[in-house]
Amino acid sequence: MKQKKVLLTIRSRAILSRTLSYLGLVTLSLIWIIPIFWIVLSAFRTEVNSDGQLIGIVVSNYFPKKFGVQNFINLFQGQFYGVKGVFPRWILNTLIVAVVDCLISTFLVLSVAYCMSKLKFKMRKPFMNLTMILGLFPGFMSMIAIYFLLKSIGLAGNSADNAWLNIVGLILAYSAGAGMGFQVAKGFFDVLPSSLVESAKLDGCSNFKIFWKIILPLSKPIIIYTALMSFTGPWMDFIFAKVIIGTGAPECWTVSVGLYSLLFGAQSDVNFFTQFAAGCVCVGIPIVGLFMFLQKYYVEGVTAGAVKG
Amino acid sequence: MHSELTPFRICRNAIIGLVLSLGLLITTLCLPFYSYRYFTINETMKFIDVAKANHHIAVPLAGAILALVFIVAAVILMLFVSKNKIVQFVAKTLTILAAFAFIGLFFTAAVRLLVIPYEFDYIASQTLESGYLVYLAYLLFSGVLSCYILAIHEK
Repeated sequence: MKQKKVLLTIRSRAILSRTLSYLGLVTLSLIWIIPIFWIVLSAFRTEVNSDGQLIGIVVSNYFPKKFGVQNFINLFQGQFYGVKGVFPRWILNTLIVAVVDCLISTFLVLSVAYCMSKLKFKMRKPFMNLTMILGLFPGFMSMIAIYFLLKSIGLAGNSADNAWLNIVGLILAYSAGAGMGFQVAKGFFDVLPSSLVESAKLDGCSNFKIFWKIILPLSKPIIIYTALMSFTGPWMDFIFAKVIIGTGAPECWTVSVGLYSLLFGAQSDVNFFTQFAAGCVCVGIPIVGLFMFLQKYYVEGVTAGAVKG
Repeated sequence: MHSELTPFRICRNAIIGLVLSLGLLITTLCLPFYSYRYFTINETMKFIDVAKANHHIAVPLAGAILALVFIVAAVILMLFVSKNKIVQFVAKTLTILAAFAFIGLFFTAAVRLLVIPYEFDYIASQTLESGYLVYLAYLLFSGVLSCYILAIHEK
């Protein structure tokens, strides 16, 4: 009887503790999810104001009274900054920047990680310490210096005629320093047996061939993780994009600069808010899709180098 | 020892909680909710009147009732088909949705307390009646109850 009572008490305590945990977790998730949900709802909000325009940000109700896809139609076919259908162009520009940066950055990061993990050379440790210290500083601290460097070689601050050069400058700004983020990939390569590299060397393989033919085929999770990170960075970045290409022609903006200009630019309008929200949903869809399909590799990539032994 | 923990025994508190929750909902619907003064000369509105006139309350009310249906369904599933893994998953999903709905609606309703005195300032002063407070209690209680049901899902 006494044992039964003790068991019941233990069970009650466990249930109480779990109830409180769930209560806290649900509350935190709600605080996180409410603004995102609001943006998604706003994207499909098609109420009109007294002027007959889409209602924008001036609303008193969280849940829309009317749903529709008019915001998406306006966004894709509408005229912003005197250019008709400029939003798909913004998406295309962002895609070009993100894909090119993804390719360059992934190659650089993996190459640097391989060198740091499998090759032994002078000043290797001090170099790793230096990159670690430099990595502690936020990237946008160097923003002004990068802008002036790019401007001096004609890759930033160009006006309408050569605005596409700004995009080249932006790709350069994103990918040039990517190699310094090699730590996670190095952790992964550290786990791969060095005997593979040594035996390949004995067979006369060059360092690049070892990297390309032996190491990379074994590193699918970390390749996907690095590519994913390299893609999402430029896809969602606003600060560098605004500084480097913000002064150019609207046709050469990225999607984040374009969407920002709908609300705060020279021709901004509070009624554009629902279209801004529709743009945010469009930007979010590829990222959500990528993470959903590549989640398994992403987790493997992050955790692979975590346990050694 | 464990054979004594039948589904009915596990869910006993949840069933009592659901009855209380339903009682709170019915009480909310029957009690006066807002009261308008000056413009309509002390007219008191019940929840149903407010819900008919004001979609700020009608949509959350519909959500709160739906969430209650969800947790009732989850408890019924746990009582009668507790062994099946798919049913367990469905019951758990329904309970999580209900927990989100109740706690979200509770926060929304609590934040509206700040807005209500000014909402119809230009036509009438608006005061809260006991119905609104019971509504808040119903949402909070049901939110905690959903989390409790979620907790007893974990054996």
